[in-house]
Amino acid sequence: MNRRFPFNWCVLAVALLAIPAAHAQEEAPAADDSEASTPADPERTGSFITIVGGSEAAMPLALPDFKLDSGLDRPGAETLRAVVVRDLTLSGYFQMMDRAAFIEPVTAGVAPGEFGFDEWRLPGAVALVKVAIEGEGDAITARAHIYNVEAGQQLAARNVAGIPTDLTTLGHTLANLVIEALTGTRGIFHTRVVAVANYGRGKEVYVFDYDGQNPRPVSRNGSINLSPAWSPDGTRVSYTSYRDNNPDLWITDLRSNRHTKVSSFPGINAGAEWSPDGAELALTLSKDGDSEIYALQPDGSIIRRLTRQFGIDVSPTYSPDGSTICFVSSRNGTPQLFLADRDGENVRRLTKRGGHNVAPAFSPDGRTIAFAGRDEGRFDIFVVDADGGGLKRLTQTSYDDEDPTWSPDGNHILFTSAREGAGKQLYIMTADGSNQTRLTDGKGSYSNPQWGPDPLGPRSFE
Amino acid sequence: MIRFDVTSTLSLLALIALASGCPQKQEVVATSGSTEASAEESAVGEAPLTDAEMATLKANFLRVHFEYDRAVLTEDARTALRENAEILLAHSDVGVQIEGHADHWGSDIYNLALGERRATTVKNYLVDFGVLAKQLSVISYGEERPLVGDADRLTEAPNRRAEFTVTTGNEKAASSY
Repeated sequence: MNRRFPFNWCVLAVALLAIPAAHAQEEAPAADDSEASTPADPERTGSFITIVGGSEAAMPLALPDFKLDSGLDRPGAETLRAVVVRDLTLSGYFQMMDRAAFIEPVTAGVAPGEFGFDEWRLPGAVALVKVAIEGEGDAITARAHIYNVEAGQQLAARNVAGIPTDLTTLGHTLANLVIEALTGTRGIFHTRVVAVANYGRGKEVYVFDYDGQNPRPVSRNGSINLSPAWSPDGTRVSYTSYRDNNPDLWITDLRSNRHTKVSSFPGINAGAEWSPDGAELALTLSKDGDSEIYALQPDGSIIRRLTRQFGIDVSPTYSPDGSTICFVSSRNGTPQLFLADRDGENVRRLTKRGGHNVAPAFSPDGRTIAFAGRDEGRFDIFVVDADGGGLKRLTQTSYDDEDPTWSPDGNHILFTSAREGAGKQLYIMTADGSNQTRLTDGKGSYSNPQWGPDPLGPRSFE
Repeated sequence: MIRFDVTSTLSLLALIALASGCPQKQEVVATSGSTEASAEESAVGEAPLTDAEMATLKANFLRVHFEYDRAVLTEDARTALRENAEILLAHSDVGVQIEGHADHWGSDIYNLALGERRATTVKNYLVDFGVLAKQLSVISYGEERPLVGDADRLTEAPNRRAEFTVTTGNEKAASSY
């Protein structure tokens, strides 16, 4: 994972990170090393520096209590601050400093000249985010200032409007601002995740905030619902439902909350994923007596059949440029990942190790595929380059880790794990496998997560 | 599991009916769940089975099991299916839904396809045995309806199975779940 910070506090961290992290290595340590020891590209970085690695590289960030002029009481400000702290912690970029270490007097202000940087250098802060809240009634404004402590320099300042009844949204906006100022990339905190959740009354599809919070029901039909997938514009979700006593493909329009049955051939109509242009969905149909992958229009009409081999063919997923599909096939005996051109031609096997590899997910730059592979009797999350090289393990526990899905910026992977004995929960990690953190609280069980598109549109990856 | 409750209720009522010599239909109509029971009866062909016969029939269908990640019939499975086939051959007005199931290993969608393959394998075997294709329907529940929880992978073998749900009049019954 490449991270760019606008100042070079982390040269030391780069050196340290040449030692592979304990949990991210195995098959391809050489690839890790070479990447870590590559000097920052001067053309690309400018004042940024490229570093590689896990939580060891986290930048110490100070987020003192928000200054309250008006508009929000102290408990409200604490709620808002907690959202920002959670976001920045989950990002994996930062080590959020304990407020007990702060020595600045409460009279200090938030704007340049209203406080001294020495009070932040002493406890070891590298980045400093100061926020003042003002406003009244339904309109509050958060004045956010982001500083490079070492240089004593303001990097960004912005006023963010919000409402007291939705501090989560305001908190995500503030956290996005911090990410943008300190890493030069767009934050992910306004993105959403769709997943199947079982809260005790069956498996239904829900849309969550990126961090597994705030579930909003999508299916709500009391039957079994599976494998939800986002349309690329984020307005619709497809999923398979047994509501008519057959695993049919349904699409729910999130704007109108209309549910439409689009494919109901006898047998399986399942595991659909949308093409990046939204023109088609690839899925598995078993109408021919054997499971085969087809491409359908969003109205359910068949465009073409993609596989013709006897055996299980499931889990098609399009590369971000739409030229390639990756899918799972048991045609050679055990389930393995295969690649094919979008029309189903030019099939080649991608995974050559392991006896059971499933659930492929292309990284947003199209270079890497994450999947769940069984090793020593358990499923773990792995990544492999789209050319078949660079196989690397990201997780290793004595419970199953499954169903990886990438954040739109490619810096994070969300997955399910039963590692804490509370049923399958949603977890997040950085794309190198570090900072593995549980997102959900164990009150339900979760499966088939898929990270939604960036509401501001796709990013470019050169 | 609602259907199982209805089934057991029906067989219990049937026994009561037989023991007391009462007309069965009156007993059935008096119960909750009678709508479904009546609908089933009316769907039966010319010589409807009595409730008792239906209950016996339902109980006689054998579940078949599969090896891990396989949809090939074992010798035990073939033996069980021949017995199931005999019932279907003797009652051509009876239909069954063959439900394919898988354990929790692997992705939900892979297991959905695996369950479908198992159910289809069972169907093909029965058809080869002479059972009418129109008596048989197939559905996969993948890993969604385990017989045993997945706390220990070694104990999951019972989940790799195909089950039979009796429908009547060759019509596809509501799911047993």
